Amino acid sequence: MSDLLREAAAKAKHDLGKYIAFQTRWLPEDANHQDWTKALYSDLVQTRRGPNGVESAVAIWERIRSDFAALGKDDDVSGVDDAIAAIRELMPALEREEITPENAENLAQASREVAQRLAALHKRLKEI
Amino acid sequence: MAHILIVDDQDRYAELCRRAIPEHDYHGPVRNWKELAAALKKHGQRIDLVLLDVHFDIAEEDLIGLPKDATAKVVEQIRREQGLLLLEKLRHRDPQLPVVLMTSRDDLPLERAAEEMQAEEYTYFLDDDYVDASALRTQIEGIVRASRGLEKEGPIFWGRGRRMQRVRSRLLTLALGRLPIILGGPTGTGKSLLARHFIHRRSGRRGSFVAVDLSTMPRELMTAHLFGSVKGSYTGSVADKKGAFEEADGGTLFLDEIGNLSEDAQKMLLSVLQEGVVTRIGDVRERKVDVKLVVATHEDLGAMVAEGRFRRDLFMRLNPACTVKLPSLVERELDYSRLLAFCVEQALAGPYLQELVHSYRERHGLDGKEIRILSDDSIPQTRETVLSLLLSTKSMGQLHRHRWPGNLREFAMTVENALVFTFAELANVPGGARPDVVQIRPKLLRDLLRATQTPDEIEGEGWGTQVRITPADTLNRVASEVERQYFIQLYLIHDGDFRGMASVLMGSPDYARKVQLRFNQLGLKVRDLKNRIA
Repeated sequence: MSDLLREAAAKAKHDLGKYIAFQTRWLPEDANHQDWTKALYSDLVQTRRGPNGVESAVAIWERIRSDFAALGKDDDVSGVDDAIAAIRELMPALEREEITPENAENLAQASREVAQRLAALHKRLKEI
Repeated sequence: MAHILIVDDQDRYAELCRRAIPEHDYHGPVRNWKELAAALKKHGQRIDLVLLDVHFDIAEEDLIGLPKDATAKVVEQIRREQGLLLLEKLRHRDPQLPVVLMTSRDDLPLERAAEEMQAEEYTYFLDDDYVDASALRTQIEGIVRASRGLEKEGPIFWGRGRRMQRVRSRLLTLALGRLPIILGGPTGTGKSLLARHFIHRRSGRRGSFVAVDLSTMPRELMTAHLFGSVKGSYTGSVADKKGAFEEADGGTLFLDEIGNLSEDAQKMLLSVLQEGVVTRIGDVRERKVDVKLVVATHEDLGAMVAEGRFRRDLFMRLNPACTVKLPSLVERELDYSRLLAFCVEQALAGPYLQELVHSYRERHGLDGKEIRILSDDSIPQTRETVLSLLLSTKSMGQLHRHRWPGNLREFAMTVENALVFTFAELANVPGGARPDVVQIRPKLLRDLLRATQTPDEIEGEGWGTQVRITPADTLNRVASEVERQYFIQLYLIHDGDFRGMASVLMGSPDYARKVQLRFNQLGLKVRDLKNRIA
């Protein structure tokens, strides 16, 4: 297993996995739909933001996806692909902040899936 | 409430902390070393905790530790471990500032670094795979509580300086043993406070704490007071009386200003220490006593022995090898801001001041019991419901320039007086536009400090100190000797940290090497001065 792959997994976990379910994870139990929409918008549309600008979760994954090409078919990477595809589909509605409660739940689940898959991938590659 | 500095290339943690854990004051996010150094310079003394990210996706020119002609791969690696490099620099400035690394240990990019971080006492990890607001809140509170616990215990202010932390750990060990303890150091440094509230409490002894101040006791009464007397043993002795040793049996006896002990009392004390028994004046019966003896002096007992003013055999019995010397207040200058907050808190426990502040709060509709301390640049824009005390840069400068001959005691009294006068004056005037911010007027502070002011308290910016001029055959020699003196003082104040000295002398810790070279050129030896720090 190359160091490059391990580094790529660490970077993916940090850049995407850490922030994709960041606000939603901090939401209180009694949060309403508006709170969820705001948190999802922040986590998925503005996944990374700082002085260098804003980058969405989908854009980050598209940027780093090729780093894992050497892995071939991998359950965790495929899992992230699938979850990102589900997010991509609902992004236009989320960007307009017109998301239904059901889709908000689907997005939250997909973002948790990305975070968990990237953490699992990083752990697995470190142990090899 | 804690002051938390966020060091992160992203805005996320800062936004979330401010929203989800609003009870603390957040500074930042700062995104690189330059901004971090500036924030530490501005708020350093007030910061309780640093939240530090590890991966910094920032421009190459803002990275630290980047080798020349670094490849893209190296740049990426430096970005991934930038937080660790920042931590390393931060540690040079403040070895004991609690830092939470916002990453799990598993995520640390280098095994070696992970091991080093785990070994470090004041570095914590935020496993951000699972963290939520309540987990982070609990972690922050735990860290701040632990760190403040080391800084202050009841009426004792230890501060963050290594010297006082070493005093604390040494006393912890000595408190549990059987041997006597000598507390040295100038007057007002808190020797009796330590004996009563730390050594006795930590000794595990169930008996009483008995304190005897030998500086105020007539010498002819010392023996009877310390060792007891039987009826008729001296004129005016109308009944059998226990002495301080018997009163402290099973506990701790604190003899303040032991240098004042009369010759007779020295002889008898030696006998008690040798035999573990005390004989009352005029009696023949020996009484067994088990006493932890703590003695204090502002004098040099060793020199008193050499001059024949103190018995050598008694001195040797007092365990001189383990003398604990407390530093003067000016040697703890780095702790002034924290000490100020501590003294404000202590002063507010007094009933008169409590009443004054309470009625001020009531008049102006201000909540709570806490008083925040502000500097010029941290006044909130709008009126708040919390009462804040403003100490201008000028006032802080006065505190730093003053030589504090009365040490901690004088500092605490000055703070209490300043508060009492300020709130007493305010009782008779209507509140201005910002009654939530109460200023200690620089003139009031100046008046309070005047009584103990020394002629060498230099006005103006920068660090001031006192040096002694001795004539020499060349001006160069005179200048070198003066330079040696302030180098020694700075070395002691900064616990031997050349980076701290460089900050004072050259405005940046990065000049530590230059300062160390000059230190060597002046013929100063680290090993000689290290003993003075210890």
